[in-house]
Amino acid sequence: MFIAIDISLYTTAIAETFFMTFVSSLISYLIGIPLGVLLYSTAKDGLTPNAGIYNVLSLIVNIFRSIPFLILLILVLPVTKAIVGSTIGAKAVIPPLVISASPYIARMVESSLKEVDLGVIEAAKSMGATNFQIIIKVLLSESKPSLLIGAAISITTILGYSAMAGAVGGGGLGDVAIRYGYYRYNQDVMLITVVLLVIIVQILQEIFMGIARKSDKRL
Amino acid sequence: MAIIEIKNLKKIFNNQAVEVTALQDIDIDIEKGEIFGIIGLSGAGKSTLVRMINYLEKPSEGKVIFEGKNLGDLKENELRQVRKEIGMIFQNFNLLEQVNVIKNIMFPLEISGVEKSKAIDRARELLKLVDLSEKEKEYPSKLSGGQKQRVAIARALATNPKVLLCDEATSALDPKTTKQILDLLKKINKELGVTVVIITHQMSVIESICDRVAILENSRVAEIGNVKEVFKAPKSSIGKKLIFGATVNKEEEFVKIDDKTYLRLAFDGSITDKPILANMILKIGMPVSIMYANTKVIEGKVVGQLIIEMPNDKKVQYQIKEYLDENEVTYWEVV
Ligand SMILES: Nc1ncnc2c1ncn2[C@@H]1O[C@H](COP(=O)(O)OP(=O)(O)OP(=O)(O)O)[C@@H](O)[C@H]1O
Ligand SMILES: [Mg+2]
Repeated sequence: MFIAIDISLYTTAIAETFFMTFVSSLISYLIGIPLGVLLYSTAKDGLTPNAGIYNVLSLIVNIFRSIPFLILLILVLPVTKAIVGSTIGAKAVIPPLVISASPYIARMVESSLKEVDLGVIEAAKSMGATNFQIIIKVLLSESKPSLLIGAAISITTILGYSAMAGAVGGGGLGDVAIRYGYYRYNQDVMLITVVLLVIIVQILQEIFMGIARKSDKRL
Repeated sequence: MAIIEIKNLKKIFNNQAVEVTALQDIDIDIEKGEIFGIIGLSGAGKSTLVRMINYLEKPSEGKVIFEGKNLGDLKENELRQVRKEIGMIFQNFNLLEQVNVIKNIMFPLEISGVEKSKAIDRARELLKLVDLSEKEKEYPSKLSGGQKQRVAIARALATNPKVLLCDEATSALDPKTTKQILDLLKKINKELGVTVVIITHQMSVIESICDRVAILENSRVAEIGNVKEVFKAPKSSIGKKLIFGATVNKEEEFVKIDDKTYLRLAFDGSITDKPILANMILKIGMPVSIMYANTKVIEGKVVGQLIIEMPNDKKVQYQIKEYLDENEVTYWEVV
């Protein structure tokens, strides 16, 4: 029953969900941005086209993106164990989340960078800019609104995946939903966790979209 | 010595086993301090040529020599230094959309490692030059086309380049704004001594500010020379077409009535300014309507085109043609 479950159960679960989502997102972006820049740069119209590097990276990214998250979660258990020292709890969900989100984010970043007008890049080249300067001061700066929209999508996706990790004892709202709601047939718990997840996703989405809109100077 | 020497330049693009020769046998010397125009129809190779002047595009053969340095011999970092001495502006302005006007102008200074306070001072100086001081904090999306091009010009001049390359810099602008931008380019040329290279498909741009012109056609230079001389007596067929037929594509401006006949008269400069039309009207004894006219007198010679409406009377029509034949005026019926 509703009252039977301590309110602190939810607050802890929410805190865990935030923890998993933000730590995973942060690490995934630390990997995803350079990877996305590398994909963009080595692509056909990139700064330093290199079909070899591009095709290999692209293949790796696609492979990781096509593995269903639940399967990945189990596949990387040994890695998780090695890094985190445990395979249960909120921390243990971070390695699989990062492995699954980084390639996804890399693609998002690549496609955001592709939106930058080639003419602007050409103008920067004509002023004697180095490729590094172009990446930082033109590509990443000009695509900021698009990157933020990408972040809204990526972070909410990561949050959704983190809930899935509850299935293997990952902690957070998903864990509560499965342990209390599903295994113990407590529909109220199930409902509350789902509603909480929806609200959190909605808030995160709105915040990032708001920042993206505000930061876009083209409007 | 010319500031830019283009020697036997050739560019071939390889696209999926299809070879496109964009340029060949190009030899052009651009003198220090001049305004040099390059004109040609779409696809003639103008953009490719201008992009090879600062080596954004590498030639397949031949050389580009800037101030005595063969750009092909330079290392990547030396080339970047040279590019700071060659400014460039574009048809689409290519401003950074996410930063404001002053930051756009500071961009080339920033990437050259100029101290921030000095960069701001320099940017303000340039804003004054292009007459946009009050737009310092504005974002490009809030500016008109002409204002955007002014910002682009200020940005291109930030590093004190010796040359300014303009690729269709006025093609996206209306005639009035075009004139303002051309005046600004002229001022930059005169007051700062910057050599200006202008790429365009508009004859009027060449005529109004260039000292010399090269006419490109099918990847080659069809004609090159002093603007006044080329306009007076173009030698190549493309030159004749561009100069005398400069208005051919504007003929939609006159509305044709189906059952009427119209005659296009072309004056190629072989007739001195005797009153051809007035004499014709006197001869046939009947008024003739001029539907469209774009002629000018260059050194006493008439150049340009006229479209007249033919009277309905077949006999009069015959008389008109006979008169034009006698006076060696080229004409044809407009269909
Ligand atoms: N990157 C490229 N790859 C393949 N072909 C190209 C490339 N750039 C230009 N070309 C070809 O080279 C020729 C000249 O192109 P260019 O853009 O220099 O012409 P242009 O005179 O500037 O024309 P426009 O007035 O339309 O701008 C064209 O046939 C074009 O299709
Ligand atoms: Mg062009």
